Amino acid sequence: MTGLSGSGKSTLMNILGCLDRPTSGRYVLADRDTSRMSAGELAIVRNEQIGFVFQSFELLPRQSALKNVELPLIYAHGGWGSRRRRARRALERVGLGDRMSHRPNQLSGGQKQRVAIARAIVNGPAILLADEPTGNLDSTTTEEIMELLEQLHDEGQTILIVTHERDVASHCRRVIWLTDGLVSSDLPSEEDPAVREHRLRHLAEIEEAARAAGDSTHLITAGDRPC
Amino acid sequence: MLRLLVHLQAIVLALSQIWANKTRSFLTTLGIIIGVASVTTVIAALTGLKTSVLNEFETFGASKMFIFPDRPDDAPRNMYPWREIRLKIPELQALNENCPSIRQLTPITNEGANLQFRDRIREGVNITGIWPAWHEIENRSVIMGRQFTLSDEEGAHQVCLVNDEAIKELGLDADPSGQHILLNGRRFLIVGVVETLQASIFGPQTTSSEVFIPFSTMVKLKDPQFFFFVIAQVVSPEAAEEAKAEATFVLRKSRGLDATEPNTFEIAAIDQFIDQFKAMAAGITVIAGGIVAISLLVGGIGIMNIMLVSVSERTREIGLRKSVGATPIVILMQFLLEAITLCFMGGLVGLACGEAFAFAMTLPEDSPLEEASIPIWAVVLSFAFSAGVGVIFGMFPAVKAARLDPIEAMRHE
Repeated sequence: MTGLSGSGKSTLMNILGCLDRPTSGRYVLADRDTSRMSAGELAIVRNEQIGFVFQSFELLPRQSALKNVELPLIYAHGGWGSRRRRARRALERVGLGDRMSHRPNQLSGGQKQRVAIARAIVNGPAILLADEPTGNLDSTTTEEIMELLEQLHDEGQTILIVTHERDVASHCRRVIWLTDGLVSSDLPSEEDPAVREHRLRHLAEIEEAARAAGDSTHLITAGDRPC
Repeated sequence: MLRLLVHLQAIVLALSQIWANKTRSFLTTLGIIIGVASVTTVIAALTGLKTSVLNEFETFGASKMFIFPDRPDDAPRNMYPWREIRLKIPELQALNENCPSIRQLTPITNEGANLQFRDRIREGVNITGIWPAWHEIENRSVIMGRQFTLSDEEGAHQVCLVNDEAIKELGLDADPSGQHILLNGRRFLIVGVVETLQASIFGPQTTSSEVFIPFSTMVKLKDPQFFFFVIAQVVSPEAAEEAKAEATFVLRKSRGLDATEPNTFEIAAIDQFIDQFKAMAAGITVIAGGIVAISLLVGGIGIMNIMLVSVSERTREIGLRKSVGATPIVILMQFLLEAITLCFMGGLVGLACGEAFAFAMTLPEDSPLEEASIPIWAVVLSFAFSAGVGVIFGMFPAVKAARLDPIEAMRHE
């Protein structure tokens, strides 16, 4: 999901994530109308159906990676006995099996976001909502995180990414453009003109880089930032 | 079950929060600590004082009763002339014979007199006229020589008993029996020595010279309308009410009072004084309770303040917890439990301080607060009170946290 600032990305994301309720219309998630749910009911839906990944990670600073990942399970129905095991498995899935007892300040940005992703998937959500998941990361780490998300997607996880980076958007199967609060385009990424253009340029860059690598050490800066 | 586990988690969370902010938590709970420490200390001191005073009453004689003439309130003076209402010796004999709940009694009267032995003179010494029953009633036996005999009383003999202090002051022999002293110029034979009165909370704080003479001898020395009262010993403390009723009946009968007339005498049992003292102690407890309530209130406001700070600096964390599925009620419980735990721990530390103070009070030798200790009800009450303060003052910040909008909270810097 992409669009310019103020186009309504965050609002739609909040509604989809059951953090907010629509002022009009209905949002049906897994056959349940969430529009009239109380704050408590919405919290349970978030716990069971939604996993959040935020731009600024939002990890509890004083707690280990494992404790951070356990957080949603504390508020979950059942599964108290298997809490630690499930958190561990989630951390292994994101490739942090060797960083479980590290605190956020002992982890790099990419590792922090991996912990956040592990926390988002630990309760097996229907949708993983990622709000600018790579906004605070450099390009190399961005690639790593996108690979991880792609890998989760291949394993069957539905992922919704809110981004204004075409580079990130080009990883997705479907691209939704929002303009002034309305969906202006909703196409598979192969057909989305902006993504297409980006991919072509990206390919060209890679070719040029390959040529440049022949005679000199030329650094490639990946990704453009239209906004 | 889930609820329980979530709340268990909340307690662990609260404890870890408190531990993470040790200094702040300590300073915050200081109000509660001081409040609880002061109330428990005051109550411990009062308990100790009460125990020692009641013990004092006990040795003083919980089974003692005082009878004295008393003109009825509002009655005209001429209606009950003094010579009619003053106690008379035949009345005492009637009381002795007709009141089964009264074990024994003695009239008692005091007089200041000048004492002389050889060239030593002591002025204003307290002379007491007694019957021999006095020794047992006041628990002051004759340690040397003999008590007054029936013939001493009936013959109004000029005999006397003295205490150690009088022996010292007049320079009498260690066993003065057989020596003579002048009492207002009259020659009295010393027949024995009476145990010296111990200094106590009631009565004299220092011992002084005392001389005792038979009551009938005193009657001869004084003007015929003199005042005296009666100390009676009841068979047991429980029989005090009965003894009072019996004595009232006997005296009314001997004075020929009809049913419409008021008593011309007053009977006071020692338990009245005990009741008065207990009422006073209860009053002090209530006042102390009020002061403590105020200090706990102040402490509670401190807790509320720090909890509000805690909520505001952890707004993002609250937002995150909500976004991963914490319901408002769980957040509420988390903060409420933190406030309660703070107060509870303050109560615990305060109680420990109070316990230490109470122990310190018992240490000095001859401490009047030897028995100072914190009664169970005070322990329970102070805990209940601190927890209550936690609930009341923790509620507002907790509700504030629970009501936070997750989106707003996550944007908070």
